[in-house]
Amino acid sequence: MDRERLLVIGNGMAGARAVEEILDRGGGDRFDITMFGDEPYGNYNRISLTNVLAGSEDSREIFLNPLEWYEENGITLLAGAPVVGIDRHARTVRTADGQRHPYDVLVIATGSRPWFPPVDGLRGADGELKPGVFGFRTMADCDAMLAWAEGAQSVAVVGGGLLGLEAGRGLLERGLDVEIVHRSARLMNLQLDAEAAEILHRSVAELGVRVRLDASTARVLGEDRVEGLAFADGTQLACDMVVFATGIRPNIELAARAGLRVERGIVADDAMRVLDEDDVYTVGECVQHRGEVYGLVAPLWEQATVLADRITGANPHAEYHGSKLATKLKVSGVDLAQMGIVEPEDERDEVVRFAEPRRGVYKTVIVREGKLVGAILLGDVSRVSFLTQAYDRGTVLPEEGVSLLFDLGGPPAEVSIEELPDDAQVCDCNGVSKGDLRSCVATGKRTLREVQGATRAGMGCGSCKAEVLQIVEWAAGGALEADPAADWYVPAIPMTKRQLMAAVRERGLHSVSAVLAELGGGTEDPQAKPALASLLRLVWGAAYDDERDARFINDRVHANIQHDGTFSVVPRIAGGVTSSDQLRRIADVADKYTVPMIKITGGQRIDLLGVRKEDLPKVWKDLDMPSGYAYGKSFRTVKTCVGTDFCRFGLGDSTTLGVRIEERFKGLESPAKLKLGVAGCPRNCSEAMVKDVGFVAVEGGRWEMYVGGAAGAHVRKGDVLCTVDTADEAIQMTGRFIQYYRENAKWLERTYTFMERVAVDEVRAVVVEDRDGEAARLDEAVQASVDAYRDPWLEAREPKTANQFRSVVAEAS
Amino acid sequence: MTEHRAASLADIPVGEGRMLRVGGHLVAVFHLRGGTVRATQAWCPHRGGPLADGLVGDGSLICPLHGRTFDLASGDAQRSEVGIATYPARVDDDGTIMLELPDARPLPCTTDAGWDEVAPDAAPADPPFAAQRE
Repeated sequence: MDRERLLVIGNGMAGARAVEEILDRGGGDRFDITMFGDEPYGNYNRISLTNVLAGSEDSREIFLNPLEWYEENGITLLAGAPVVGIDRHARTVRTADGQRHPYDVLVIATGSRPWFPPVDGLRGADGELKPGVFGFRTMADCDAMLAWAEGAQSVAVVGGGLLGLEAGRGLLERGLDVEIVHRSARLMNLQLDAEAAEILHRSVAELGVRVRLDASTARVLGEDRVEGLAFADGTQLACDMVVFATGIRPNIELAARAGLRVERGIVADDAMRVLDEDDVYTVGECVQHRGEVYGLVAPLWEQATVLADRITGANPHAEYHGSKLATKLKVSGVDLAQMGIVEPEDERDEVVRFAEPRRGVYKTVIVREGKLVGAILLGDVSRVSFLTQAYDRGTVLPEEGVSLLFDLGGPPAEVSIEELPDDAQVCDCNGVSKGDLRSCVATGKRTLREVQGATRAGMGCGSCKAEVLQIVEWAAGGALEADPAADWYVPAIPMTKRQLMAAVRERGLHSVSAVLAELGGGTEDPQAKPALASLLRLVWGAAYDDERDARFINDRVHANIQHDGTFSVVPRIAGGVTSSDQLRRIADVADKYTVPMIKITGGQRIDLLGVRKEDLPKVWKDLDMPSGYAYGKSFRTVKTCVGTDFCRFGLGDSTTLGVRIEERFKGLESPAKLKLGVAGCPRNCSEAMVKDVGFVAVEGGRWEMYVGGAAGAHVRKGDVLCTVDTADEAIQMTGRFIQYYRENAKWLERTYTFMERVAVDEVRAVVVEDRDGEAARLDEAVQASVDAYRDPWLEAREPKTANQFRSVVAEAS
Repeated sequence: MTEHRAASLADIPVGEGRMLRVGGHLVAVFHLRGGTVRATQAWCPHRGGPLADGLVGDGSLICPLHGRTFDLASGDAQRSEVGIATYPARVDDDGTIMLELPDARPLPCTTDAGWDEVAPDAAPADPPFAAQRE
C-alpha cells in the first residue's frame, strides 16, 4: 500500500505533540510526515520561556524535540518557507517559495500570536514595533527582550494576567525596575476573585514589583525608542522598555482564506476535524471547539490525543468534549493555583473560604452537589494535587470533604499524595502519572534527577516539579537522596573540581587511569576520561602522563572529525593576519590532497574540510604551519579588526594586540573552547563584545575588557570586567582571567554560563582587585601552561601511537 | 561463523580502537585496558560514525559523532532500540587478534531489526569510507 502524505502546518507545541501521538500509534509506518514551521529549530516548550526570561532555565533546556528527532522519525521539517495557501479541492498546500505540497491528510496547528491593544505610538513609521516594545510569545521575543534588558533600567509590563506576572517577575530577576500595568481593577481577573487578587497584589508588591490597576494605556511615548507610557487618565509612566502581555489571537487567516469554517478560531468538531471537511484536522490554540478557544497547554494535549486516535484509526470513535481549565502561576515566591469557576454561578453552589492575608494565604473552594467546581489556592498549594484530581474527575467529595480540603489541624500534606490514585497525572507536559513515578522509584532510582531522567517528569513547563519531588519522596519512604553529584566534576568521582585538583596533587596522580583507579573505585567511565585529561593537564602541565585513549578522537589526531569520518584542518593564522606565501601553500595543499571544501571560518581562519585521516600528517608537513586548535576544548582564535594600521576610525592597535594574545595563549587547555576578539573601536567590527574574552579600544588609548560573551547557540553580551591602560596589561588580565576560569569552571562550561553562575562582581574581586591575594599565583600558573605549549602537528614527524593516522588497518598476513 | 586471524594486538594502542580489514570485512576492534579485545560492526547505525574512533571504558563505547553509547559485549544501545553487531574476539598466544565473523557478506547487516531501516543513512556517501567499504 502506498504511504499516505500527512502535512502538518505548524511546528509548535500542538503540531509536534500531535505528531508524537500519531507516531506513538504506529503512524510512522503509514504516513510520510512533513511539518511546516516558522521557527527554524526543533520545537520547544513555550510555557518555559518565562523561566528562560527569569534565567532559571537555559533556552537549550526547553527543547521538547531537537532537530534529530525529526530525522530519527523520518519527518521532513520545512522551516524556511511559510505556508501561504491551502487548496482543499486539489488537496495541496502552497508555500511562499511557490512550491505545492500534496496531502492526503492535513493538520492545521497554526497556533496564535500576541495581541496588541490599539495604542498610539505602538509602531514606528516602518510598521514594526517601536524599538523597546515587545510581545512575548517566541524564543526570538525572549532573546530580543533579554538583549534589550541589558541596557534598560525600567520596564512596564502591560497586562496583569498569568503571562504578564511571569514576565514581570522574570525581568525583575534581570535587575530591571518593573511596573505591571493592568486595565482591570484586579490582577488575574479571569482567574481570581477580588479578595484573592488583593492578596496576590500584596505578595507581588513584596517581591518588588509595582502594580498599577485600572490603567488604560493610551500611548507609547518616545520618538525613536520607548521612553514611557501615557494613560487615558492623563498620567504617565517613564520607562525604557514595554512588554505587552495582553492576550493572544488565534492564527486563522490561512484557514479563512482557504474557505474553511472560521469564527474566533478554526471551528472543529469532536473528532478535531475542521467542520465539513473529511481529511483536514486542527489542533491547539487556533482551534475553536464548542465555542471555546483555549490558551493553555492541557487542552492542547487532550486534543492531540483525540486527533491522533482518529487519524491513525487507533480509536475511530475518539471524541474531544472540551477541557476543564486549571492554571498554575510560575512566579517564584508566589504559589498560586486555580481551577474551574471563580465565583459561585448557581444557587446550589456552596463556597468555603479561608483567608489569612497577613501570611499571604487565601483558599477557596466552590462545591456543587458534592462535587468540586472551582478552587483558588494562593500562598499554600499543599492540597493542589488532591483538588485537581477531584475537579478533573468530578468525584463526589466525602461528607467531611470540605474540611479535608483545608488541613485545619488535620493530617500533613503527604496524606494528600497518598490519597492520589496511581493513574493521576502529575506531569501534564510529559504525561507522567503518580504510578509511573512510584514504579520508577521501585526500580531503585533514589534521586530526583534519576527519576526525572527516566520519566521526564517535571521537565516540561516545570510547574509540577515540587509535586514530583513530594511524590518521589513519599514513594522512596524517606530514602530519597539529595543529589550531591550535581557539583562533582565527573560522575565517577565524588569530588568538586577544586577537591579533585587537590587530591590529584596530594596523591601525585599523573594519568587518567591512575585517577580513576585511586579515586573512582576502579571504574573507567568513558565520558569522564576527556574531562580528567583536561584537568590533569591543567594541574601538571608538561608533566602530565598523556594516555591517548583518554582523549576524544579530535585530540588524538589534532583535527575535527566530520560527519563522514573525514577531518577538517585549520592552521593557525594569528589574529586573522596571513601572507601571500601562506595562502599559496594552503592552495597547493588543497590541490595536492583534493580537499573538497576550503572555507573561511568565523574566527578569521581557513578551514580545509574533508581531509582523510591518512593524509593529516602529510597535510601538516606541506602546510608547514602550526595547529589552529579548531578541534579542541582549548584556546582557539582571536578575531581582530584592522585597527589603527589602516582603519580611519581605529582608536587602538587591535591587530597587534590580537596577534600577541593568540601567540601567547595558543592551544591552552580549557574547560570549553575559548574564542576571543579585539576591536579597535566601539564599532566592534570583530564582535569582541560577544566573545569569551574581548577587548574594545576606547578613547585615551585604553581597552575595555569583556568576558563571558557569546554569539552561538546562546547569545550574550559580555560583562565588562575592567578597563586597562596598555596592551601588556590586557595580555596579563587575559591570562589571569583564563586561568581563573580554567580552575573554577565545570567541564564543558562555556564562559557565558560560568559568568552567570559565578557573577562578574566575584570574578572582578579575585582577578582585578586581587581580594584573595591570588593574582600572582594565577599569573604564574598560566605562565607555566604557556611554557608547556608544543605544537601537536609536530606529531606528523613522530606519531604517538600505533596506526595513529590510519583509518583502516589491513589484516595480518 | 569462521575464526579469522586479524591484526596484531600491538597494532591497536591500549584503550583505543582501530578499524580492521579482515577477510574482506571491516570491523571495529578495541584493545581494552586490561588486555582484552572487543569487536563490533564498523559504523554507527545512527549516522555512520566510525566507531573505532570512539571512546571506550567500563565495557561501553561512545560513537565519536553524536555520542550514541553501546555496550561492547551485547551491542545494546543506551536510550535507543538500535544496537550494533558484536563479534567474538580473543588474543592468540602469539599476540594475534582472532575474530569470529559470520560467513555471509557484506558484514554489518545483522538480524537486528533496526539496522536495515537505518542502513541507507548509515553508509557515508563520501570518501574515504565509501571507497573502502567493498
